[in-house]
Amino acid sequence: MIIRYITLENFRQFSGEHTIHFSSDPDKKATLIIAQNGTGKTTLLESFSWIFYGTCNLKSIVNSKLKETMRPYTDLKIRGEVGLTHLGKEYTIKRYTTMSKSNVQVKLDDSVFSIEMRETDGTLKEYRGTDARALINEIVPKGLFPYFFFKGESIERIGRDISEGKNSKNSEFVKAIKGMLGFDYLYQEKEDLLKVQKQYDNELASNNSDEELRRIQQKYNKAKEDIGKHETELKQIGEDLKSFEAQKKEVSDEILKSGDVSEKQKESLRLAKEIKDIEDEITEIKKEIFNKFSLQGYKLIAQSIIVDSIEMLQKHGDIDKGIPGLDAKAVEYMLSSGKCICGCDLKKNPEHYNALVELKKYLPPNNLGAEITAFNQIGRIYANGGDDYYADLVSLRKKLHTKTEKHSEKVKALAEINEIIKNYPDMTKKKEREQELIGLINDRIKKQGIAETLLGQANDALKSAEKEKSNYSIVDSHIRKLEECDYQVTWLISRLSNFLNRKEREKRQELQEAINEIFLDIFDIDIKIELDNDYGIKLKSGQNTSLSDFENSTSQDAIMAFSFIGGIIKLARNKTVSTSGPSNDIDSETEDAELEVEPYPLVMDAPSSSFDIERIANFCKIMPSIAEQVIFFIKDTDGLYVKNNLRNVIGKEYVMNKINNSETEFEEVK
Amino acid sequence: MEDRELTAREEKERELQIQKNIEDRVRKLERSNYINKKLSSDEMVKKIRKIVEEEVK
Repeated sequence: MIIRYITLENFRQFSGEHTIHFSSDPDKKATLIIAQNGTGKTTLLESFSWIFYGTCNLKSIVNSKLKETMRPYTDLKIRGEVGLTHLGKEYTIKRYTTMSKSNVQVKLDDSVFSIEMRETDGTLKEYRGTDARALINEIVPKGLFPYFFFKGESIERIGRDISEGKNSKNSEFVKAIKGMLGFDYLYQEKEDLLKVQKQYDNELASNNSDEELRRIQQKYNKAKEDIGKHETELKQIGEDLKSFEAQKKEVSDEILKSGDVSEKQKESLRLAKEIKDIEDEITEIKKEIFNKFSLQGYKLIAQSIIVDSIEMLQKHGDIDKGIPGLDAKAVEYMLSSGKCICGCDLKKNPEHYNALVELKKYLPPNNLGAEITAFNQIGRIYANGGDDYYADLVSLRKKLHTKTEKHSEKVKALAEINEIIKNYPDMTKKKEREQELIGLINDRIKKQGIAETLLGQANDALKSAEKEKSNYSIVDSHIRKLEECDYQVTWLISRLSNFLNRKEREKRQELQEAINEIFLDIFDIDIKIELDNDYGIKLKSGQNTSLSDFENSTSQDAIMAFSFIGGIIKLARNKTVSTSGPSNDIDSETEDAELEVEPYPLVMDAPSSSFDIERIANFCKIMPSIAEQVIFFIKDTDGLYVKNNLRNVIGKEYVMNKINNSETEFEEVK
Repeated sequence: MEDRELTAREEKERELQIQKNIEDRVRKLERSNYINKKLSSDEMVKKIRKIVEEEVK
């Protein structure tokens, strides 16, 4: 970057329009602006900050006289413009604000910022707003502004900040240093790629592909498995049905062919059962005959004897004159006791006594009359019982005979039927088998229906799973592509990061070497500094200089600041951007890029105020050799000395003349 | 065995080619935009995605 000119209009004490052209001649790279204290050197330096960033370390940018003298309800424009060349293109950096006065009050509008860029082919492009702000930060990073445009009065503070490592806490500064690597576009590429990577990660996170795929696959597998199971089942059922139907047909045909044989077989069975029943009945009758004979047979056998006995006893008439149940002993007792059981005194009534003696003759044991009487009674019953038994026996015999005859008939009929059906199988069993087969066929038909329904359901599930799979395969292939894209982006980020980290290390080393070189060249101090990863500084004493001597030096902060600034300027010169085509090898790309050098200016307000004569001489000798353009605002008292030391490189020279407190003019001397 | 090795090598070559193509195209885009400042960051992200997705296929 080389500054070509600055124009200020109504900016603080620069009322009206003023333009200063800076030398851009590489052989006469210095522009001197000499002024007394209070003329506006610092204001001039701060005006760059206001134009570039809209902020500056001035209480006000308003010209106090203009503010007072402007008429109510009028406007006044405060404007600044810097013309510079950067990377071969011309830029015009513009900022203005409007000061308006109502009655007595004056207010400033928000400033308006824009950048015009003239391409190498002459076309003009204008940037506004965010784009313009981003662009100025690329050209002059805000974090580095205090090092490119610095005030003598703050040089010691800058030095202290550097020594105390405050830069390392200043991310703007670190960012700006990184910007000087010349790989801004690579940092931007990394930033963009990180955004792309984040998008891919978010999209991948929102698609839990594996779980969903597993679910669909499980559904698909289950449907397939069910189909296989039901198909096997149906096949088995089909085979069973075929077999059972064939068997049933065979059996049914056989039954059909057998005509009335089956009826005859039934009749045969019925007859066999009937015969068996008759046999059982015969057995029962026989059993009854025997039982009755055992119990009553004697009645029949003894019947004629009893009848004869009763007839004989009847022929003997008196045999049964005794009193049943009374024996001779009882009568003897009454006779001996002289008293009848009726209470009659036998002694007094001899007729009764004699009657009893007569009775005694017919009483047991002397007489069986009573027994015979009893026998007569029982004998008659027995004699009659024999008749009953006989009648019963006759009846049973008749019944037995009937049954036996019936049995014979049935046996004969069975033999006849069996003769007819003897060559036929058992049709009843066939019919039972037929019924059994019908049952099996019905069972299989029912199972077939169920299996077909389940197979239909499984087929539907399979179709659904296939559809889901098909739909998912679109999603899945999208996810696989996202993963692949994410992988590629991650790979590229990693490659860029490795490269940039290495380049940063190299650049830090370069900066460290540049600072140490300036330490030695300008200030003849053998103190080495080391930069850590965050650009923090660590001092190390050299062979000829003790660290404590340096730390106690009154100008150590200024020395530190100038060395650091010198190092940065030297580094910034190598900020490059290759315009060659893309290469897959970042390293070879940078080698090409580093062939091009971008110059940077050094704008210093009262740089010599902290140094002694010897160090001013060194400073004036070294700084122009580091920077491609030097713009020094020199206090009039130092002017001659600085001019002498810079005499060979001065391209432009101005003197600032203070007209009054609110008016300064520039006089071009050279 | 040889066929399998050949396929693996071809696959590796294909992957390297994809990486090279993506890097070249993204680099060219970033450099071009760095110089011309035509596209916003969001637009760049969209374009980079398009490049990556075109190359990955």
